[in-house]
Amino acid sequence: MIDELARELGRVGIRGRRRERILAEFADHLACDPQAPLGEPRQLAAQFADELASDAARRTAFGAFSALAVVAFAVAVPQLTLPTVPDIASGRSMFLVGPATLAMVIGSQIAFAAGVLAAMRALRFGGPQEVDLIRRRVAVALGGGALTATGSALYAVNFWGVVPSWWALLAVAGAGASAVSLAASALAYMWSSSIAVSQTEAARGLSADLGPFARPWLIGAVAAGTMLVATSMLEGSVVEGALRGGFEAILFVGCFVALRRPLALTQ
Amino acid sequence: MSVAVKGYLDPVILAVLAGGALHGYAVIEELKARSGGELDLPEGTVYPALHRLERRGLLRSSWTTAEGRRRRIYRLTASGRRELASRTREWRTFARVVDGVLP
Repeated sequence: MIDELARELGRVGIRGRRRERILAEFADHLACDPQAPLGEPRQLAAQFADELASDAARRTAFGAFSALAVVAFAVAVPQLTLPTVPDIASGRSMFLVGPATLAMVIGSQIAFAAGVLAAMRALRFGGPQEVDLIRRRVAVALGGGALTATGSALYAVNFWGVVPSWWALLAVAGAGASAVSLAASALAYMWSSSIAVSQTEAARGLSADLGPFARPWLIGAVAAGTMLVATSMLEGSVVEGALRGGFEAILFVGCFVALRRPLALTQ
Repeated sequence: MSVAVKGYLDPVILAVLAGGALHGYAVIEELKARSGGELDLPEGTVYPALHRLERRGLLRSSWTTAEGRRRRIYRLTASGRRELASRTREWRTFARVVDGVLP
């Protein structure tokens, strides 16, 4: 029984000191009563794995959310303290500034959406069948965070010498702090994902997280509308607002199509 | 009976450990004794619950040696005592309500 339990624990990803502890406890139990009805090793290993994976997935979701808060701060501070926005053609390369800006715009929104959804599901955790979904959301959120931090660093490198040196250093340091924070969270994610869960659930859509009235098109419309109004007011141009609002709508649709399955946005 | 008690396994374990530190086998034996043998869970399922309660800070555990074997001993923490008191109140209310309704 002990040998079989050891194999099953290894199969579900429970190894090292944790496995040794479980085996020692079961060996002690069998020494007290060799006929003890301990249960099926496969089911016991699955039960340990479900319990461990559930706790780890929830911790990982909250950890990723904290890491993304660091990224948000480290990227937002340089952007808010930039004395003047440099001319787009004054940087090292037009091929650098476009992807850098796009990475910041897209990455930050993906990270925010996936990070919030992962944390919400972890807060209202319903059982091990939700572990797989939380893991996928965390992975997407961390990817979005990495994209944002990379974009910020590329932006600073592109305008090195054009913007004040203190600002370029601040942006690169912020990207570095983001990388450290994301790497720590990614390690925790990798460890938690090494444990196999015995159950997964079918996608229940956004309404399972945000309530019965949550519709992706409605959220997209609010995001595009907010961009339109905010840009029109800040830039003093309705045309510019409409352009950015339209761009936001296109981005939203693209990201929704690409991520609806990993994030379980639809049923 | 084993199905009915499943949702209450955690407070039942905490209640057993409120009497003092025990190892896994002794926890199960105590559960059987207190329930008059009605609790017939697969004994191995108690260990994941013990580990979960420990991760949540409701129990703490340490190794000891008994008859030449390593043995893990579990103890209730202060949080565990508070949780037990809370779940006991919850159960008493639930039982009173259901008792009042059932014929």
